[in-house]
Amino acid sequence: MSPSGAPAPSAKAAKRLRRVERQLARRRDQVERARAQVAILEDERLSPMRRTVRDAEDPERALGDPSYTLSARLHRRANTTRVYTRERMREPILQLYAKLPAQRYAALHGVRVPQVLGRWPDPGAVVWDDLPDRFVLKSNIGGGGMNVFPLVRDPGTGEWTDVLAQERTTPEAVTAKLWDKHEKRSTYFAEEFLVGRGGDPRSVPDDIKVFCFYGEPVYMEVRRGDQSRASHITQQVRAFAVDGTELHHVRALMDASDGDVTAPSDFPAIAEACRRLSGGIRRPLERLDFFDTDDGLVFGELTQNPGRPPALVPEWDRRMGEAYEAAYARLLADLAAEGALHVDHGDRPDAP
Amino acid sequence: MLDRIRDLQGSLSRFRQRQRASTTRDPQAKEVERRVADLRRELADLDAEKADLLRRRREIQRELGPSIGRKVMPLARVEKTNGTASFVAGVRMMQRIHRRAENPAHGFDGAGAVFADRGTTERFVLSHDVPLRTTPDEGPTDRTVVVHAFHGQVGLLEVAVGGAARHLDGDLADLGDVREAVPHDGDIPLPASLGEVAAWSARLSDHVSRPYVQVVWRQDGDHLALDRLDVDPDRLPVLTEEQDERLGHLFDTGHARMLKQPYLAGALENRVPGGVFDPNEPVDPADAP
Repeated sequence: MSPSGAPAPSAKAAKRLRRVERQLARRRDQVERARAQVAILEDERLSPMRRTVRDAEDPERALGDPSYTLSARLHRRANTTRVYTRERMREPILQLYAKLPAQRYAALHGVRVPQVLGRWPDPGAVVWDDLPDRFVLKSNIGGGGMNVFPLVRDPGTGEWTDVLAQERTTPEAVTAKLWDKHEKRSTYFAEEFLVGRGGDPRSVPDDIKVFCFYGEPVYMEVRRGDQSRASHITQQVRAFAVDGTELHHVRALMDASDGDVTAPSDFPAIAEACRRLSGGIRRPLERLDFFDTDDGLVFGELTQNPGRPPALVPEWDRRMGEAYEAAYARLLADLAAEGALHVDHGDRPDAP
Repeated sequence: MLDRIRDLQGSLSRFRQRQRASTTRDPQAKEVERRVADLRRELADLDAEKADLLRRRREIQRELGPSIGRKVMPLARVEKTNGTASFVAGVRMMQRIHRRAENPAHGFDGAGAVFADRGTTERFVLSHDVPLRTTPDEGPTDRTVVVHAFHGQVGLLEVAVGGAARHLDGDLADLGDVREAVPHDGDIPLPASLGEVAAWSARLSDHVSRPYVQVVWRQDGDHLALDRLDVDPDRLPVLTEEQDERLGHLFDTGHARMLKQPYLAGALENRVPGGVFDPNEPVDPADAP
């Protein structure tokens, strides 16, 4: 301070320096993000054929590079454009599409699943008074948070709060929303209200979504906040490699996180659970969802084709593409070793 | 104009920094001011780069917009897509995967080994009641027919003579000039047995454990003879975008059909310790009805 009480010139300069440093850090991050977005979009401009041959001298001999995006979209098309249906195939992974069978699958692999408090053929049959003050009511089918209602009852007033939408609700409103979506096509169940590690007992734990490749987890996102039923909620996301390395701007077209999400506590435990669960699914890719709780890792659900297969920066698109192709190679090797994949000779009797 | 204003603002800012640095007597403050000036220069560079990047981002979003019926593709919408089916992308992906096998040319299923050997190839072909040669079908001595087959479906036939080719779809309809690397000649006469060759090739491909195979026939005297089945071709036609997508859909189907063999054998079932997962078992034996 100067004798007059005003900041000394050097103090003012230091303050200015800190301000510029903060500006610069913000700008570097913005530029890095914009670079990543443009890199992703430059690839999106290209047809898959052009993405494969790129600028090869002889395009007809170009073998191309692995791409997670192109591979994931192949599998998504197979399901959503009814390719498998036309071929009268139902991928066994679809047995795990419903939440309860997926939880049983996880439990059989020794992975902790939420305790089920009750099951009903329709949500109108739920006996709310018999349930604890905190539970989660779910439809057995359907993805995202649309069919998931984490509910907390105020013991004093008996009023319910829908924690996902962060608003007051009633048993009638929840029942109507669940029934409108799936009606008799689903069953409905209540499960224990999980609490995030070290978190507020009235808030839901962060969602850990791990992209796995036939026994090998590679990339994960930790998400807080679900916009499925509440557009005013801003979702926050952090991304990590399976070894725990934090990744920035890898999936740069998604809304950026404000960094408030807690990193998972035990990356090796996540990897181990993923290896067990994914290794039993004979498909080169899927996504496994978990919750990080005070009681350890808890399995959530499984997704065969995310509604939005990630578009990744070229480095990670290739890295995950490599993981996909390595996984498919292991799967084909297993199938061939079991005699389930081979050239099929006909039975014309007089063939030499 | 905006760029000019930005330049002038940058110059003014730098001038002020220099002035501060030159007028202050405190050497520490001078050093800080110099650092501030450096950082502001970096900031200006980053501002310029950011402006360029955002301009490019907008251009691409406008380019992609019409694909979803909008002027501009929202960033969040990019991931909401099935993508486009592609012959080249699909076939090359499957080749890269099989080339990870201990013997890359053979692949994991050994198909490459079967078709690398003339004897085993002939046994395979004959076992499916397909002859090794057509009935008499006169033609130029250098005539070849390449059938691009996708597990029971023919997507493309190329009748080549003297370095040029005529391209046809699976219904033998002329596709015109669709392959830049091979000159198109619509006057090349079609072999009389082309329909038979296509049907035989489709039948053979249906029994190959790959989504795609090239079945190559060549003129041999007064008939066409089977030359080879190639599951790992070095050259793959790079066609027009429209034709690549058309064959891409056939690849998608071929890929599903490839998986049908292990699927029917139960080899794709989900595994749990001690066996196969049974989805019909009650969720919790304790509360089973």
